[in-house]
Amino acid sequence: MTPVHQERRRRLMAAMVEDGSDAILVYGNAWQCDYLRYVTDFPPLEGEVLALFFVDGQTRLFVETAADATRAKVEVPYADVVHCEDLTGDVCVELGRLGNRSVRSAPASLMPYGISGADLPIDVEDGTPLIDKLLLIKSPIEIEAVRRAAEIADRGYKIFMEACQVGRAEYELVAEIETFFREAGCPENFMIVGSGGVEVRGMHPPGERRIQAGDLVTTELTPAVDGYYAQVCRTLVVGEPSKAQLSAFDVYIEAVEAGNAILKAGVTASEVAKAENDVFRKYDLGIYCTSEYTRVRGHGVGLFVDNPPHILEDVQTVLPAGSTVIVHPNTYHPDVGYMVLGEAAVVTEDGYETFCTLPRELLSVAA
Amino acid sequence: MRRGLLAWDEAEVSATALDARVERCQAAMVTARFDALLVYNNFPRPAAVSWLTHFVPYWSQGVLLVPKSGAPEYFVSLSPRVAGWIDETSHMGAVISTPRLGVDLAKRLEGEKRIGVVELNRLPGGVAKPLIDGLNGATLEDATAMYRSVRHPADDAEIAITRKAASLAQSCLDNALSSNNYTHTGPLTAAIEGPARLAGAEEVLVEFAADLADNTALRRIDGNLPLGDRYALRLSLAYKGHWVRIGLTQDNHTIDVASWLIANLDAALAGEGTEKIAVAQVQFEACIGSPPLSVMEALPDGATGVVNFTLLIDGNTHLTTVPVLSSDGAIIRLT
Repeated sequence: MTPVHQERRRRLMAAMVEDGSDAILVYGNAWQCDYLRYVTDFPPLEGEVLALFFVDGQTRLFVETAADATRAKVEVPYADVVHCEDLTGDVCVELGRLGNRSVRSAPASLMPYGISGADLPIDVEDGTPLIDKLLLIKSPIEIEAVRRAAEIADRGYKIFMEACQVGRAEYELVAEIETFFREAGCPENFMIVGSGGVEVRGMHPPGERRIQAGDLVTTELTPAVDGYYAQVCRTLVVGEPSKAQLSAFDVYIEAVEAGNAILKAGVTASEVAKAENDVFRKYDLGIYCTSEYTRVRGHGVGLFVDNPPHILEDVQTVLPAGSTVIVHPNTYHPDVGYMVLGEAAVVTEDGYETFCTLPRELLSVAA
Repeated sequence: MRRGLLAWDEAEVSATALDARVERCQAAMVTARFDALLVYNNFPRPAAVSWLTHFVPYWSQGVLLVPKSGAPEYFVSLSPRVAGWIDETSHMGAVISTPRLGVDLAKRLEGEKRIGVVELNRLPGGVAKPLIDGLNGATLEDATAMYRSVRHPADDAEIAITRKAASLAQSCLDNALSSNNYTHTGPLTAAIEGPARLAGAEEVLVEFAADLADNTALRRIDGNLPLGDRYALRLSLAYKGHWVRIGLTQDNHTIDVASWLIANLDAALAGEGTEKIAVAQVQFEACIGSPPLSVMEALPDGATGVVNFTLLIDGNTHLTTVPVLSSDGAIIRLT
C-alpha cells in the first residue's frame, strides 16, 4: 500500500468512526474515480467498479471488466476482488448480507440505478458529503503529488509550444504531448484545445484543423501523478501577438490575479469568482462571465480533473487550507476569440502556493 | 481520459449507414412495443451512442433519445458552446444542452407509455431519479436485450474501420518493437502511442506484464518499470469509436507463436495446442452494449472483436491477443 493511500485510509476510517458508519459503498469508472480511488486506490481503466469499504479497513472490490479485475488483484492486493457478470446485482446481494449495519454510499449522482433504485433490505444513506470533505482538504503527501503533477504539466506545456507550428493539425499537437507524458511515466492526462481566431468560442478534443499564422491556440493540460491531477491553462499566439490580442489578454491576467489575490483559507468560491468577474465587468465584458460563454471560473483539482468546488458566484463553499484549486477566467473575448489562463494552486492559511513556473502572459511561438 | 482525434469522415461511415442502424433499432422498438429508447453515454460507456450516431464523448454525460421514427435527439450535460462541435463530429437530430438530464428527458417523454432503457440498471442515480420522478405514468423497462439483438452483424463501415484500427495498431507495434531495444515501459509506451496518435488514433492504452517471471497480469504502468527478460504487452487502440486490441509476448524461446497462431487459429480457439504450446485460456471480447469491449462466451455472428489467448510454452505464460471478425461461424483474423 502506498504511503498516500495509507494516509487516506487513516483519515477515512477516522471520519467513518465519527460519522457512526460501519461501511461505505463507493462507485468509480474510467472517467471519474475520485471517490473510488480515495477509498481503495484503484483506478479502473475501462469499465465500472464498486467498492465496499468497512470501518475496520476491509475492502471488497466489485469489478465489471475482466481486465480491470486482473489488474486490481495485483495493484490492490489488500482488497478482495470480485469480477462480476452482474455488477449491480452482485453488489445488492452483498448489501443484503450486511444486516442492520450502518451503510453509506457515494457519490449519489453516479450510483447506478440498479443499486440506488433497488428494494434493499437495509437503508443505505448518502455518504457523499463524508467523502467530499476528505477529497477537499489535501494532506501534505497529497499536495506533494499535486506538486509533481504541476511540474510535469509545465514541462508538457513547453513541449506543446514546440509542437505548435503552422500546418500541424490539432491532434498532432496532442500526440506530441501524450508521447512526452508516456515517456516520462505519466499514464494520464486530460486536455482539450482550441485554435483559430475570433470564431473560436471554446475548447474541445483535438480535431483535424491545421494551425495557421496568427492563430490563438488555447489548451488546458491536466496530467496526473499517483492519481492526482494538476492543471495549467495557457494561450499562445502563432506569430507576433497583435495589439488587440495583447490588450484582450490583459483582462485575463488582471482577472486571474484578482481571483488569486483573495485566495486564502476561509474565502468562498463565490468570492473568488466575483473577484475575477468584477474585472471583466469593469471593462464591460460582464456578459462573457455568463454560462453562455463560460462554464466555470475555476474548480478544484485532485483525484479528479474537475473536483468541487466550482468557482462560480453562486457557490458558497468555503475553501479551507489544503484545498487545491485552479482559478481560470477562461472565456470568449469579442475582439479576439477564446482565451484561457490559470494554474493549480494549494490554498494556505494566508494565501496560496502555486507550483507553476510558466509566466502569466500571452505566449507566442514563431509563425 | 485522453481522447485524441475525434472527427467524422463520411467516407468512412456515411449518414446513410448511421440512419440504417437507427432504423434497425426502431424496427426492434416496434416489436418490443417501446414508445422511445434511451441510451446513456459517458467516457467509459461511449459505444452504443457512438454506434448509432458516431458521437464519442470526451467529458460529462448524455442520453440519446431514439424516438419511434425520425432522428435521435441527444440530451447532454455539455455547454451549448459545444453543440457545434457535436454537429461536426456526429450525425443526429436535435442536441439539447442541459445540466438537468433527467428532468428535461422526463418533460420530453410526456405522453409516452413504455420507455426502453439500454442497461437500465447502470443508469447513474443523478439521471435516473429525476427522470423517474418526472415521468407521468410512463414505465422504464430494460432494453438491453433488444439493443443486443440489433447490434450485430457489423455493417461494412464498421468492419472497414475496425480493420483500419487493427492495421494501425499492428504497424505501430511492429515499428516500435523493431526500432529499438527497450529496457523500460515508459519509452516503449511512448514509441507505440506517439505514432498511433499521429496517425489519428482516438485512444491508446498500453498495458504491460513487465516481468512475466514475476506476474502475468497486464497493467497500465504509473511510472516507469524495467522490462524483464520475458514481458507481455497489450495495445488497446480506438479509431473513430472502434476498439481493437493486439497483444504479444517478448521472450527468448525459439517458437514463432505469431506464425503458429496464423496457421492454427481454429485449433487454438478450440483449446488445442501442440506438444510445445498449451492453450490455457481463450477469452472473447466484442462490443455488445455501451462498453467498447465486453468479455463473452463466444462472439456474436458477424461481430468484430478480439481473442485473448493465454498460452503455456515450456511451462511459461505467453499472452497473445488478436483482433478478429466472426463470419458465418468462422473466426477470421483482422491483421
